[in-house]
Amino acid sequence: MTGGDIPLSWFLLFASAAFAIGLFGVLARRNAIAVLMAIELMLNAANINLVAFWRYSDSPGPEAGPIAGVMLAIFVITVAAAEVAVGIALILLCYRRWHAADVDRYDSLAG
Amino acid sequence: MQLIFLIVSAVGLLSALGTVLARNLVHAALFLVAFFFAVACQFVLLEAEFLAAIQVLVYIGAVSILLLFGVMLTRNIQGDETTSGHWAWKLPAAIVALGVFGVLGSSITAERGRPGQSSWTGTATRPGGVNPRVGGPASVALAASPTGRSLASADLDGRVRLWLPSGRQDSAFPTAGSTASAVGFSPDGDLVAAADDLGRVLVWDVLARRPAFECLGGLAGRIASVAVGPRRSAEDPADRLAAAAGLDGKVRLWDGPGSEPRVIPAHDGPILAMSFTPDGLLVTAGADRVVKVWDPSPGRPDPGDALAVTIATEPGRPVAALAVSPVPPRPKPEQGDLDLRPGAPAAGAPALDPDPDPAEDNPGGPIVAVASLVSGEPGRWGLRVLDATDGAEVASFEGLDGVPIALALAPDSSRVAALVGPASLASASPGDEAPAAPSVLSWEIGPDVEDPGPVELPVDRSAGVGSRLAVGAGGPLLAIAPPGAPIAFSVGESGPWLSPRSPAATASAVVADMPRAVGDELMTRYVVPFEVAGLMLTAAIVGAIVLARQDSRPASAAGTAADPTALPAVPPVSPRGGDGEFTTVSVSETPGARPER
Repeated sequence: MTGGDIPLSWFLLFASAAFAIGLFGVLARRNAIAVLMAIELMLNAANINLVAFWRYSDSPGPEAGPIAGVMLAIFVITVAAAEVAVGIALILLCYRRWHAADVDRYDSLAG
Repeated sequence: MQLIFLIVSAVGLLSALGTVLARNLVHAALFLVAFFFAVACQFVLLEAEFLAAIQVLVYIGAVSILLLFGVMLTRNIQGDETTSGHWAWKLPAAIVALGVFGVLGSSITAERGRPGQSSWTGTATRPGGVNPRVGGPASVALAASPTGRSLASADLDGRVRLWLPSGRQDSAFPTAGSTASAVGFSPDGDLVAAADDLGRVLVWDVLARRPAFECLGGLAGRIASVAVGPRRSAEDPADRLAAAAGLDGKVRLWDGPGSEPRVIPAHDGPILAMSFTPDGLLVTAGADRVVKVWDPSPGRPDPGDALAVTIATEPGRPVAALAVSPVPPRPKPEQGDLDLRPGAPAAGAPALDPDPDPAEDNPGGPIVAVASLVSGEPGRWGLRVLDATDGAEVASFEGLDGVPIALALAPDSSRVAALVGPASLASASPGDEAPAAPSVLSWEIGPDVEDPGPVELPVDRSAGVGSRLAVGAGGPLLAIAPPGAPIAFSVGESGPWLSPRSPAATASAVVADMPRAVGDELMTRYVVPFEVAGLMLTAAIVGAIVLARQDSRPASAAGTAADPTALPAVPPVSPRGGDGEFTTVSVSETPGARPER
């Protein structure tokens, strides 16, 4: 289609910036749901890298199929969705136990 | 396109910052939605439209809603404020994040690419896949499909690439050799054959995009032309003759996969053009100025006895270029005023006969186009189109303004094109100081053509000697492969040459491959602008919500005064009762919960 004039490095820079922002969020936020959101940022940044390298790769070959790189990103999306579901469930359980969503308060495995 | 990328990236990064910096977790979740949308736009820019749809469905539709549920259920909307302490880890986290970004960013921008690979920072490195190739190796041979749906190029990197008329690369097939030297379609357009420098002829199935069969034992490095015959049995689509014509004047014929080649001396000099007719005859044209139409089936008499037509006008005068087409020119289909120009509305695909039947009330045989000197006028080149069976002249175009370099006939014999170099190449006018740029002239041929042309298209100066030319069947499509430069396409009567990297190449290409071309056009014209507009709208809504909430924090009555108009079912008195505690809760999320308080 269009857009051949965008260098690959632009997508990579965007992805690394989003990844760094997500990393900052994971480290700085104390609310567990905010940490989960920051993890989503990082997973999306990784997805952009996957698709960008697929799109700019030389000669995928006729047997590789037209969406070989997209498949990997779809797996990541699936895992991310499952991870959010499990993560929210865990956070809700912890919230019931400690009455707080602060990750610093979750300091005991046995409760 | 770069501008769109920059806008999308700026919005995406700002929303990402908003996600990690917003105190209110509902705001953070809405920023996250904007970020997800920006990532979906990036996927569209990367031509992964399916993934963009998945992104919107899964992330925006499911994940962010789940996160909002989590925020609501923990009643912890104020995020970190409700917990003890403040952001003690803010500064170390920022240092770590900046360090990670510095390492990643500097190594990305410092990447120069390994040898043989394209650099990450180059703007012209977007090859492969279902997408347009940009840059890349030059093509040494071109062939147009008789169906008008694709065009094949044999490339210097040893691959054979199929191109759609929109300039999009359809598929790429590897050969075993280091370069491919010739390429040709079967008369039905189902198979494409190519020769590599090891003397192998490899045949692929165009639709299934996989190898069909291969033939070994050709003339290594000297195959000038390849062809695949028509299907001979209904059961086995691979049961065909394959032919390779070499520079030694001999035709090697393989009788199906895995057979030993039969070597048939056909011409006294190099064979320049070869093609199978739909009924299985082979047309060969050689530098000995002879065109032969003969039956290559096993057991048939030698082509030495075949009908041979001498095509040169004067003995001793060179034939500059030759092209053959397997079918005679036919009357144009009843199409009314079919307009194929790029901007034309509702450009219907030309009615291509996928199975051309040469026998239907159509006298004449395969045709050959010859560019040679006009007899009696030294230094003047002319172009003649002859019937290959009896030498009768079908059309004649005299007075070329230069030396013909390459010649191409459309596979349906509807058009002939010639790449004409500047006149100063000819010895006729040595005093001409500033030679004109080369140009491609194309003429319509056929029994009912009133104004054959020519249509002249200037080309780049790199399109000199050694260039290849192809004319698509069924429409005014031209492709040129200059030596050492990527292939370029031209669609329409006088359109400019478009290399696949140009965005306009696909936007203006509405030719035979209608569904795909229309899809490209729609995507270019509508989807990307709509996505950008939607992204802007999302960002504006998020920003407005944030601003409204911040306003309502000090003066809560002002923030909620507008709510009764938005929610007419709510009695106007009730929000005022509870506006003290609930100002930061998104009103639209839980509209029914508040009147009770």
